[in-house]
Amino acid sequence: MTEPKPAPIVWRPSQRAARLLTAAICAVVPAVLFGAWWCVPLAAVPLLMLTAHAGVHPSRIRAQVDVPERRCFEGETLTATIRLAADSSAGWTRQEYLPPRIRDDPEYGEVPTPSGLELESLELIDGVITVTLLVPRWGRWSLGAVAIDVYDTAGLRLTSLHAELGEVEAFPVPAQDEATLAPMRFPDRFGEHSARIPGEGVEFIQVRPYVFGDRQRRINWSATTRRRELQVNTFEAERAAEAVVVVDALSDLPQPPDPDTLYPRSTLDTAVRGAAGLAQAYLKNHDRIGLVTLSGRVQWLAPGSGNAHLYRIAQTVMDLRKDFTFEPGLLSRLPTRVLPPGAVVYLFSPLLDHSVVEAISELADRGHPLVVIDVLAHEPAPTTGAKPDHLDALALRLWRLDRQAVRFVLGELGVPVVSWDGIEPLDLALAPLQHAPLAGRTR
Amino acid sequence: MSDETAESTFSSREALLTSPLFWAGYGVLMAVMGTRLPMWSWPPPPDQILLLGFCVLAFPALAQPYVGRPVLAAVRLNHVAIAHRNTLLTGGFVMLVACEKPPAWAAGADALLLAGYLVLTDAITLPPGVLRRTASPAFLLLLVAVIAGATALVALPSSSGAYRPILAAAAGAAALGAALATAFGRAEVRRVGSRGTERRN
Repeated sequence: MTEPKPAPIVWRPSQRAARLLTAAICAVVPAVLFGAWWCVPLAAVPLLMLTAHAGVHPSRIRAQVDVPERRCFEGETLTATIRLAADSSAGWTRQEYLPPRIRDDPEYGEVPTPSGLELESLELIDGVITVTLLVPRWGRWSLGAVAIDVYDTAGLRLTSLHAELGEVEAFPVPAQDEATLAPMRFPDRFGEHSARIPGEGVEFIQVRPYVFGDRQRRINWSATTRRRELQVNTFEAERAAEAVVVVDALSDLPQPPDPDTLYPRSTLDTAVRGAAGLAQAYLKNHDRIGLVTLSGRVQWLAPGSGNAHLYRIAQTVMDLRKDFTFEPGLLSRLPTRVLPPGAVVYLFSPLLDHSVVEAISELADRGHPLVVIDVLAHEPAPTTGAKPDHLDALALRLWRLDRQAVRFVLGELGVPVVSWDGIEPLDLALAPLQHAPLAGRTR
Repeated sequence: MSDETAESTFSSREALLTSPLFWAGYGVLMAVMGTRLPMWSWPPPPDQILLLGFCVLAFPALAQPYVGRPVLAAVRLNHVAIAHRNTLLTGGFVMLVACEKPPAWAAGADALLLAGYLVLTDAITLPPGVLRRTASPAFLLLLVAVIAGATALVALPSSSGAYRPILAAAAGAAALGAALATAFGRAEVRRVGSRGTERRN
């Protein structure tokens, strides 16, 4: 397959050329047309500067973009290189990084995208432009572009190249979490949790009379001697837990930045980082974890295990911020394999959208052990910027009452709600729920 | 000259060229010479005072070198004027000078002012390597010689011959040639962005 022929390069006069030509023409025209001879010395200056050095330039220039890593974790830096190659000489180049913009809505104008990409360095060494970018937020983002102006050797003509840097996938940094809540009933899979049913584990339950088929090594000889009939030890079965994390992306509120990193933060950032932390903790214990996202359309990932599953989960949430659609129905269309019976369900939400309460009610009706993690840790501030007046205070009071009403409804449903601000470890928020296995509602 | 002396000279020169005050002062000087303030008859008419006032306000702003990329965020008059302010200044200064016949010394001083502005603007907008080629000491001497020669020719009495139309025709031909040379050119073998030609942003 032949390589497509590059577009021809258009050379245009530079600002230096415009300066000199304007001065020359403004001096020559009055001198020739109106006999203003005193303009001739003025015309001589720019004409000499224009003609003394003949500028030369290449006829073909190519910029080859190379981004070795297109996946990273948020907070990491990416390096992109642009190799410039030309068939002949050029005077010099100057380059400028063009950050990505919200191109879908022209009214946003100069507002950058929520990616918060920061340019750390942009340097040209031996025909190679190196761009270093900090990716402070998770998501699939455009890296922007680099505009390169190539001048001729006299600085009189220039041409511009546009090097698109492509996209990057920034995975969320998992929140610090070691805690995994165990359900009352485990699915029938081998794992590392002690289930409250007899099995082949190591946790002792009781001694019972021997029945035909019991293994001889399980005989408890002390009890057998006391009771004068064969007694065997019974142990708990070891099972793997199943969990599903539900991320509510129906509402996303900006939050104060993390004091350590000062990166931008929102309720959705907190939710996704918490979901990643829980997924990491469950996968570390060889459990299975799945994901459901509630945004315009419901996306899901059936529970799975293994390290690769963490990356699958991260990739599922990549485009959450770009989903502006809305489909009714939410969880009613989920297949059973996505929400296995008895799986612990964690729901990360700022509890601002009333359809989330319906989704929680639906999950509780299905009998899942359910925990709601409220990620809205800060009350809204008055947007006017002025001193808060009585209307602001009234609005805040109504907002608090609304939040209390939502929490009351969830309490009536028997769903525990914990608050988590995304800065402290998630373990601390879940600690009150760890003293006993979670039980779902019985029908 | 030792390295430290050379470095301090370079930094002081750079500080001067990046100082807005220096460029504002240069703009005021161009306004004063362009409006012929030294040749005024006193008391001056109000229109001259108005013109001087306008130029003293406008030229210092237009004289600040534009060092950004020649990209317009919007095709509005103020955006265009900001990006091409140095072109506006040179054009405005030359047209102002063309309006009134000056004495020979003033014509030479105007040409020197214009040359100084163009060379100093190049000094701040071109990379050092390119500047060394385009504004070498020999070239600057040639520039001064051409200004002196052209001023001397202009200073000759008008009855001395028909040299002025020839001079104007030569200047016109040179302007046309320069415009054509700027629009079309040939290439030589070298790499883009090779060492020593980097432009600092």
